[in-house]
Amino acid sequence: MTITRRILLGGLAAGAAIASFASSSALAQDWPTETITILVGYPAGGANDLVARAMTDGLSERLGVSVVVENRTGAAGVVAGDATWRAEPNGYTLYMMSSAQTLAPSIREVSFDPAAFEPIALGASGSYLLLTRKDLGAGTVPDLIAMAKEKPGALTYASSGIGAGPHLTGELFKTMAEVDILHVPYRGDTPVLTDMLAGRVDMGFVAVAPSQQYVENGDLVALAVSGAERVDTFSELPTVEEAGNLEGFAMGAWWGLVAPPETPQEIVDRVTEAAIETLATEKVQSTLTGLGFEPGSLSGAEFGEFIASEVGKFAGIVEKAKIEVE
Amino acid sequence: MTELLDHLAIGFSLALSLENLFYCFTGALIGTLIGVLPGIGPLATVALLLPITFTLEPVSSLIMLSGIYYGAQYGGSTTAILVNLPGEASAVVTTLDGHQMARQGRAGPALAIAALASFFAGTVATIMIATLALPLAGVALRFGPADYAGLMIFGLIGAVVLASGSLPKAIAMVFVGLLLGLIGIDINSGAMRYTFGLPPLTDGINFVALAVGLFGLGEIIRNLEGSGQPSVLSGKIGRLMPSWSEIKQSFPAAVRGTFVGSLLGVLPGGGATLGSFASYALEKKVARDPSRFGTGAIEGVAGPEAANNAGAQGSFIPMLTLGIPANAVMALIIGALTIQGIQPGPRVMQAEPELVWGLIASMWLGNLMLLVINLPLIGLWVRLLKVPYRLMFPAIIIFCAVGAFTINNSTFDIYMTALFGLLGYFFLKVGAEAAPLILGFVLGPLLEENVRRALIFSRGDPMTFLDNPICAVFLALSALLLLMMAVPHLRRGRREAFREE
Repeated sequence: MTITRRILLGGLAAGAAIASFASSSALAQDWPTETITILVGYPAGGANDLVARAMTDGLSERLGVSVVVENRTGAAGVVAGDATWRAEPNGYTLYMMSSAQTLAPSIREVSFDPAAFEPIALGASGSYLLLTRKDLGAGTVPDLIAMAKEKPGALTYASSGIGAGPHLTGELFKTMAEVDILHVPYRGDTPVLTDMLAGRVDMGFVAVAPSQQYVENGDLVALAVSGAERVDTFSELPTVEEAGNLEGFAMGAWWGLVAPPETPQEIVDRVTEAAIETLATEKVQSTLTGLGFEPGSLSGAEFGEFIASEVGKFAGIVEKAKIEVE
Repeated sequence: MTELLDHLAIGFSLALSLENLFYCFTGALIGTLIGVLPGIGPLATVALLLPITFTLEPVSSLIMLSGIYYGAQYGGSTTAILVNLPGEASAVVTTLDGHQMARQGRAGPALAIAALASFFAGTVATIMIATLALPLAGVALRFGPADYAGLMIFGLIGAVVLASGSLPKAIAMVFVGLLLGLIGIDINSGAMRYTFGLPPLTDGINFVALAVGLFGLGEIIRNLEGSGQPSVLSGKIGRLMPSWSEIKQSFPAAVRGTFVGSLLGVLPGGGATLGSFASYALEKKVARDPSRFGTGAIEGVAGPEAANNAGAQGSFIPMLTLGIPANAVMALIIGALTIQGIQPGPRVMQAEPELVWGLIASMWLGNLMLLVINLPLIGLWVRLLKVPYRLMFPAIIIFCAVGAFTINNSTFDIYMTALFGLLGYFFLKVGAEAAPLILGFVLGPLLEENVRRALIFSRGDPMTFLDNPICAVFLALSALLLLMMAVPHLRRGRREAFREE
């Protein structure tokens, strides 16, 4: 038999097809063989970064390869989200998404759809504390609301930035309590706390970890927590919902692991399994609670539904509170 | 007083343990090395080493991370002097006279004075932190948005003093800097300004890309203009150590720089940066012959270097006493402590005295080690100037690219660095100096933020700037400075009057 050119080409093509099929199924089967990178959209040392780093050791142990965190900062987390969106869906690039990314689409144009990532597991979530300066004189949430109603526009509230979680929480509070409080935007939590400690700004919603010590020291007053449930660190504090009689008020930040869209299901399942086990270890639980967070318990499809519901919720708040960003 | 001695005893007993001495030395050495690599700053290094410190004792990790931080301040001046590459805003000032000295074959004395002035400032700043941390902490809280606005206006007007050439060009460069500083998200409205739809520009232009491009790459292009080895770096080396008269000239400058630097360093947000600029401006004002500045005046190295180091250490005060980080590196160090279960702030001084006093003691030891590491290295660094330029410039460019990349892990910043290199060359050609531009770029956004915040608090009433005494004083000083510049005859007349006395 003479080998014609056509047969040769056909054979090569078939071989290539088999090879590529074999490699793609081998990819999922042998996965992982190289380092897995978790992208974080915020600087090292911040809440988002700490949640990702709390999980790397456990994931690495269970998956058998190194797992590293890469801080791809910029544009309030959008740069990292965009990089994940466009990353090869091979399981070697994962993303520690934050709740900020689910509200991003309702305030500005972003290149990705937060609900379309492959959900893995919720890492942690945290409430904000409703704080006031120490000499404001409002001891409870109803006091504060009464004070704001008495002098509309006289009180000021600080946020860590336009369109950030604490800003939306503040706006939701204003809308639901029907009060007028002046918004003062800052760059991050630190300057917010500085001006509140100095007594320049009256109130604000701030994450538990950075503000905890000032509350315990008596330099700031905590009136309530923003989430749906009370938190362990301040078990005596009511939620805004129960104290202010504002039914349905529940806000907070969360961070969860996702993969780029169309990552093979087997790979997503393996990471999910490893993530659930990691989150259940005592070490990770104590690290996360030590930071004032609630360790996450949602995973897979449940986590996916949660993300989608958050996107809808934030869009509703932005619309109701008429927050506009050019 | 006895309490202070007790505290220092606790601190030194902890810092002098073999283990902590090792971490202190490692931190100082790493800091020096990364400071010397152009464009790679303490921020990227601390971020990289953060996971390692999680396994250390809190005090050891704090000692090592702080060692990297102030070690990088030392190392950064080396590249600023040798190859005109500032890695941080504060090192920009060191390039002005330091690099001129290197071009004249006086790199050795410039490096030695930088190290000695830094050590002096570090020692004084350590004593200051140990004795005055608590009262000074209040100062940081007393500065409101209007006061910051006043300080920034004063700084911007003072910026033109940095230029040794024409006044109109210096003013123009401040404005170019202000305009570049506008790029990015406006924090008051969330609007994108001049980002041209490019996501990497939403957080503004990267400072390292701007400074490394304008100063370092611009200089390289100019050096390559001629043929082969640039005449300015002809391998003339001269003495390694400063002469007695140079030391005598530098000492008062270092004392003034330490004073200015530690005062401004206490203010979070731009304080430490302003320190070295302010010190340079002060030196130029008190000098008998201000025209020497920009051509290799040793006071122009000693003062700002002292201010820079005093400011770097002063910025620990708001962190230790209030939990307020003064800059991005401090924020990272706070993150490292947080994960160890320690939240820096008002309670840490009482709850963890070992940690705080161990750190304070290690600061002085670290400064001593830096002097010991750096003085013998001067010979080595200076000899680097003998490396043929055709080998040296590609290496510098590679390090610059790596440095720009590491800030955000983004290739976009490398392109920006190249772009600013061309712009820097253009500025050199037309005789416009880049230092005022940098100050405009750094202070502009802070000025805008604080002016607008002050106006939000005052519900739009501009009188808030005059009602705040601190701000009013700065505004008065600014007006005075403007008057002195606008009426040069008055100034000249006055100087002649002094001379006749």
